[in-house]
Amino acid sequence: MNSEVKINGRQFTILVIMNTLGSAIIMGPAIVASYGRENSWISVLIASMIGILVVLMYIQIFKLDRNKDIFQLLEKLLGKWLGKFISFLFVLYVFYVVIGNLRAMGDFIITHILVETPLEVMILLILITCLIGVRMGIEVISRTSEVFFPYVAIAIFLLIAMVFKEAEVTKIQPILQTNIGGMLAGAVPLIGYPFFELIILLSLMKDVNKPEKAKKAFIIGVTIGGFLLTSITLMCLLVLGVDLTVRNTYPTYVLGKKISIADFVERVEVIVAIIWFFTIFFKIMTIFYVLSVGVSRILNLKSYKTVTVPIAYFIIVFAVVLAPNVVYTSQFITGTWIPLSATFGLVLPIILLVVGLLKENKTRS
Amino acid sequence: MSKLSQVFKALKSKKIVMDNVSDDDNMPLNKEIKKNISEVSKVLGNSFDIVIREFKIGKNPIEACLFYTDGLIDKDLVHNYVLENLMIDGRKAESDEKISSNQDMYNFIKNSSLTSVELTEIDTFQALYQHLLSGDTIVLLNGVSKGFAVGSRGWEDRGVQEPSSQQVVRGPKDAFSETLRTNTALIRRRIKDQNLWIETQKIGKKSKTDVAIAYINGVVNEDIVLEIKERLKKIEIDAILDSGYIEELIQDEIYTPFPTIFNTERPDAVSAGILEGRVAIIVDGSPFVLLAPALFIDFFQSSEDYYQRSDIGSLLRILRFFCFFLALLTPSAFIALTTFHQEMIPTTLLTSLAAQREGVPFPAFIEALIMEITFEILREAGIRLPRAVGSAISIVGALVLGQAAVEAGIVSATMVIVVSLTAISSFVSPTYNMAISVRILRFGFMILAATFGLVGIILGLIIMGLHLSSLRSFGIPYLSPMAPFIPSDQDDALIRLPVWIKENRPRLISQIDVKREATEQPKPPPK
Amino acid sequence: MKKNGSKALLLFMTIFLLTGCWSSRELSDLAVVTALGIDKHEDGYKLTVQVMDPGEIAGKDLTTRTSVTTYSMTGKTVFEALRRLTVTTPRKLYLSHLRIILLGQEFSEGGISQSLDFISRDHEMRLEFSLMITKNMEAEKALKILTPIEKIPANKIYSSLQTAQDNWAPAKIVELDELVSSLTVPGKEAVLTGLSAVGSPEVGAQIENVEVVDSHTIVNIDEIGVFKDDKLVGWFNENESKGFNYITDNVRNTIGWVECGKEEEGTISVEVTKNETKLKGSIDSNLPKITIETTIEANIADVECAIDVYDQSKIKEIEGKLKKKIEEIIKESIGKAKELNSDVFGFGQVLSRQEPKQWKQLKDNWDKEFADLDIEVKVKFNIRGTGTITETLLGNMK
Repeated sequence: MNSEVKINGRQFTILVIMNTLGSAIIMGPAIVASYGRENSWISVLIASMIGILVVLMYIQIFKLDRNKDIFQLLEKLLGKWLGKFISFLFVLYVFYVVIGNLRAMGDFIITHILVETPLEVMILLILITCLIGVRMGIEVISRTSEVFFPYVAIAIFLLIAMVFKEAEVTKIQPILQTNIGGMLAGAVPLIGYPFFELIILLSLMKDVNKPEKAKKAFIIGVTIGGFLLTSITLMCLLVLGVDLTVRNTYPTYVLGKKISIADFVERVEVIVAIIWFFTIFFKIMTIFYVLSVGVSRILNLKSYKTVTVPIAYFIIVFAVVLAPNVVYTSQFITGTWIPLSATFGLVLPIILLVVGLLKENKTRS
Repeated sequence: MSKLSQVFKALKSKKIVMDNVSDDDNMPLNKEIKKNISEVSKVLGNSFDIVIREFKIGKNPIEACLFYTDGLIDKDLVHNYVLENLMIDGRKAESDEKISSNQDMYNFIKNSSLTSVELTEIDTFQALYQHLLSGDTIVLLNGVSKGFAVGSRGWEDRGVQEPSSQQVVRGPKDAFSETLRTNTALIRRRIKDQNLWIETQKIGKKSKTDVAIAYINGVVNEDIVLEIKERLKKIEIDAILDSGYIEELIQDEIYTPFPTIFNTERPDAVSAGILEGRVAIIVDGSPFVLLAPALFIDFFQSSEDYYQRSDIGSLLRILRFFCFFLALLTPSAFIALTTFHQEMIPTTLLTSLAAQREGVPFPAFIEALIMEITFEILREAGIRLPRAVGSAISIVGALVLGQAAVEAGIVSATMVIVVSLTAISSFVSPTYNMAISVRILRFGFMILAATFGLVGIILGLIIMGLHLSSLRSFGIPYLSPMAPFIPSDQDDALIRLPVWIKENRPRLISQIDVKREATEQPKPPPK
Repeated sequence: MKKNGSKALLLFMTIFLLTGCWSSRELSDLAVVTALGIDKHEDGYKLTVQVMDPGEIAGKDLTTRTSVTTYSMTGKTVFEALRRLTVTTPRKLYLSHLRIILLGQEFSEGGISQSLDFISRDHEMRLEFSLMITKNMEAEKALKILTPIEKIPANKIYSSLQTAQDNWAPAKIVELDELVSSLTVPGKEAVLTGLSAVGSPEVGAQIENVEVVDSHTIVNIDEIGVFKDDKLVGWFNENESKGFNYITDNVRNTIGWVECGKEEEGTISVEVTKNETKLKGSIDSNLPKITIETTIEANIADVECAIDVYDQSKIKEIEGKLKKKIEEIIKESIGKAKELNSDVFGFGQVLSRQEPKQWKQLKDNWDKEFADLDIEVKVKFNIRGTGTITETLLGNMK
């Protein structure tokens, strides 16, 4: 009924959770555990805490102007041309996140589920699905995420409950005695990987019907997301042990393989796949949406829908040529991605905040 | 100015000429009764069910005439309260009053002679035809350019019978019939509130079907009523033969397999809907009454849920949702598991499935498709067949297609089980149109499963979720109260909580006068 | 209307989907592998697969054909051998339902780690299969032996192994992830349970083997084989195997017996119903020490002498004897492990967990340290129940 798109606080929380979990829920434990070893669940905890701090900073930016998304804000604060230029760089970053997640999902499917299917076809299929969602708008995406979130929650709960009897505390011992450096190092890629990426969601905050709720929703979302990531990592370590967690590309999926109840309820690792499909789908959809909005802002278009299809073409091409293989992806996440993500997730917001506050003081005085 | 209006008139008359005869009846009634009679019989093409009875009234006989459509009227009524009054009582009474002109006679008849309850004055041919063809009796007097339409509708009616499509074990057993009046009466009988408003309008250029909308003023969302009226007004169609026409013409989204307007033949379901703040659309000639707005969960609720204890009702509701997914996904999940994800099947089960498939010539997908299509054919045939042949079909279906196909090794026994399970699950749905949606979507999911296995199914579910979320029924999100999630409405969504908990009407549907119940939780008597 | 067009296009595209069933395979196109055997061969490896014939196991009309078939092939790598098998197998081999992998003894003695990489890398492989060593026999031969009752020999082996582990103790199910982590993590060596055949394997491969009441050849779960690095270096005997399971807290249910006493002749058996072992490690001035604390609960199961089990002091006496016996078993086991110089109990890991800092210095020299490791064994033995009868039958005999 409302011409203006609005989502509510709860939906925003769910989008934040989905975006935090994203692909980190299935790849995260392996990446972290390769540094943090037994203590890597603490690394995730640390990363989540920093994530919450980062989100608090994003909320400060939101307070600068509650009716503008980050692209409009950039133009307002940095002037038209500089703003557009930074927006362009930011859009490239968002583009990269979309591609990365799309590729991660495609890689997972062709590694574990549909081995003979070509990657291009898989990516095309996922992208078409996302395109349908993006064209329906953020309201529909967030409402759909609300529909699927219970299943994600139930699946995570089931996963943890079903492997619980296989957990051995000895596998995470000694706690906090050795390898403190590694533990801290383990947190770093994770901060860059889902948490800095949350800056993208900053653009959606203005679409939340009550600004006060948006802030609360953001923090609650990232807290729940961080908590779930921590619990999943902990379960991976407790059940699989450090060794297997590191060795597998997708340890959470292997965790699912461990489920065995009464010798009949087994082989249900597809539960894990479902959790992950839903989280990453909604992550790709929301980011894709922001990407389209960003591009349309730069080009001064009225509707973001005009650019969705052209962007989809670009995404397809780049997603296929981006990384030669899975190893590249995971090295990219632990290497190049951290400074890149930090530039946009940390440096950019700080600049925005400083400029914004300075301007505010000026107008006040 | 006058020139312009002339041109306009000329244009108008031209249009009238171009249209067929019956449209040219905005003209007023003639004073001379002969001309009226000849006009009517000409326009109606001397149809043999139109009865024209000429007679005379009074001592100074005034020529009068009576029209009615045979079969649509209650003859006793016309006989006793129209013709007799006019011909006999009229003459007796005439002596008491002074009647000098035809106009006086007209007034006298209107005020003192016709004892019928419904009496409408008419002065155009348009009105005459409309009343005449709706079953009213028309009385015309010579020398007066007006006439009466006496309410005398009464035709053969099926009467109030048991519902044929939405049966319940416990609960009222009456159903709507084809007569609008009966239907509104059935609703009135349940809601004796002065705020229950029933408005009618005629839709259909030729059929002139009476369409009524009923709602409780003060509870209903005004915007929705206006929107419905607006959409009804926009309808331009020859005829409305069933409420299905209206449904198709006013729904929000056209390209969707899901129904966004609820239909039912149960007066209790309609009353409950009206009480929740919905609008009922009742179409003359159709026992199916529409309720709008309709949400996804409405199609999983049976009125019986409210008549049974809440725990039973809730369980049944959950069962229906479960069956919805079963009917939607069983064949596709089976295809996905047996052709893509064999590792997920327990070894012993895999062994027996593989043993059954030895020698089956078709791939699992084709096998499933054949069986599903066969089943759809059987089902369609079952509906159309005369009842006596029905049992023959079930024998053919069960024995020939089930047993024999398995024995011949054309399909595997498991596939027969899968298809039967799907079929039975789809019958659980309390509403027929949601069951049809599932039938359509099932094939889509089967194709997805055959190409991408479980990944395809999940993609399909996400697309379906997106589509459902994008639907609206008269502005209300189709998936509410699930998405957007409305905590206060959860008392009557997936589960039905006891009546004393359900304090408020559904939030999105009705936002005024939300309180509907304030009974406290019943307490056991003190011992 | 634009919306319309794109939807129609999407619908149209679904037709293309139908042509693209890349990964699909029909059930009837699969050869379900139930067991895999790896042997040493001059070309590299000899791979044997045991494939089941579903029609013969669950079909309606059973014939006299065997329910499983084996195929063997050699290759430079396991993967090559597996793929080369396609020239002999009628269908594509499907590995997801693998129950058991048998490693030939000779092969195991030469090192197993290289072959494991494929097994853990392949996406079709799952984790729920057990690895075993065929004692004094080639894996190929063991896979050919037909078993009565269970139509699929691999299932028979797996369930025997499971029952033996759960009720008898000198066996251990080792799944791939555990084996791999034992091979890679410092401070723990690998073990695998052995499998042996009684009777001639050649006779066991004939269908007659399951046509007689008393099968000519049967496969047995044997004792536990000890690895050093990735090579099989020796075998525990039955007692040592049991001791191993006591130390590693892998005893669920087993029995133990002792002599009744000096006066009475005969034995008394108990059923161990609960066992809990805790390993404690400490390092004092660079001298590592391991304490094994085992708490055992048992019920008296069989009294074959005239002893009064209703006498508290007698119970205590029996408990004492059993305690001593278990200590002996455990020590025997440790002795053997020290002799083979293989820390199969994971004592090194215990130290790494509990004394992580000192462990770093010991780590590189652990083989030597293990040989001189000071181990203290503490056993607590409690008899809880006496079964359904109280007095012994023998005591009341006329």
